[in-house]
Amino acid sequence: MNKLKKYIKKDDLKNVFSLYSKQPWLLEKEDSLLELLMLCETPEHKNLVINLLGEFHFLDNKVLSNFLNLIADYIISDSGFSEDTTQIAAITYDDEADSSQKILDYIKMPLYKQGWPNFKPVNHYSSTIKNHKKGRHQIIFIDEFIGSGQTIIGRVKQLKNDIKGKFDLKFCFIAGMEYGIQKIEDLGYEVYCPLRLTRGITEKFKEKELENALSNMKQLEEKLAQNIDDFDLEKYSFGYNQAEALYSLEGCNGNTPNSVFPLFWWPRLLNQTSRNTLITRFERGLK
Amino acid sequence: MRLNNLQKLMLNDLFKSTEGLYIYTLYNRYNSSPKELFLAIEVLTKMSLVKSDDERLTITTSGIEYAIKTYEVIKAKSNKLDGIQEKFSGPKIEINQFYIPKIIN
Repeated sequence: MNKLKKYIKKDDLKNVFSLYSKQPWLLEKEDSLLELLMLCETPEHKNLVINLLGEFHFLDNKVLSNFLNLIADYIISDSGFSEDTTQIAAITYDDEADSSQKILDYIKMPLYKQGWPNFKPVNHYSSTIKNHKKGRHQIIFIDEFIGSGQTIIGRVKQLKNDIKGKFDLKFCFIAGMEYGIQKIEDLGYEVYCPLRLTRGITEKFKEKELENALSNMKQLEEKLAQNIDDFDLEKYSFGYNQAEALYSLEGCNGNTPNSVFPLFWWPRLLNQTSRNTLITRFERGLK
Repeated sequence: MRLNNLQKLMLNDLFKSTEGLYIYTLYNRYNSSPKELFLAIEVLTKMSLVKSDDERLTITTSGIEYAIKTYEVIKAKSNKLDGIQEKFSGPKIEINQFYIPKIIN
């Protein structure tokens, strides 16, 4: 802290204070926040970072719990599905644990408490087919976050291919990008998502301001390691598929989605030294 | 609620300043992080001891009263021998001077 203290100018302190009022979770991440501000070379860089952080959705346990209750309420009261014929499935496709399984596990309690003690949770995509054969033809895919929607579109295609009979399909997410959700809804599927986000830069700024913000973010990304082993920053530039998400779950509740601006989670600087990042993304081999 | 050292220090500094102090001035004056300063200001504001006007902090009437009370306490604690009348004070012992200690069983 003392090392950074001398770099904090009057305006920086003012900005940090305004962020603390708006985003109290940053109080616990002061070193990372100050490091991030020190990475900014110009006042415009700093303004952009402050602006984006001001709009950030960092969900604590209480908010997550509220959203899980809302999802459970939707499933029981509004989805039109019945407990005996429904399976609630994670979208997990490979053999690695992921956040859709985590949310599936979290939703068990609210569903149980709200009146579905016998619903069928399914922790892998492949098992949905098996459960469909057993009469669970109403399927709800659940996940923490939807970015561009590409993964979900892939699953829908796969499911149509794998299930021969009739099935009803709906989706539940804790949070997601509005444009990604729209893609799923355009396919004719109902989506329940209590936190719908717009793109952090392109849907917030206009005209000259937008041009400047895009250019400033590009300049900031140039300060990050362009490659870490097999991972190219270019692929995650402005978030995977340029999703421009400003979202993360507190602590161990989730894994920061790759849709989030890498400036907030990319683990190395241009010279390959490690960063003390504000939020963390686990991706095997990316460190 | 009891104030911590930083909060007491800030209150005393604000008490001494006639027109309040810039937050940045306080930040430079103390060896504290923005977080510590922010939390200290939050506590003092919630207790209505100070008020902030964007970048400047000023002490309130309640703050002045609190500072005076605390100051009196600090003053009283600062030297316990200050209150002893002169007639009860013995001669001052010089360095290396012999003396007979009074042993109380």
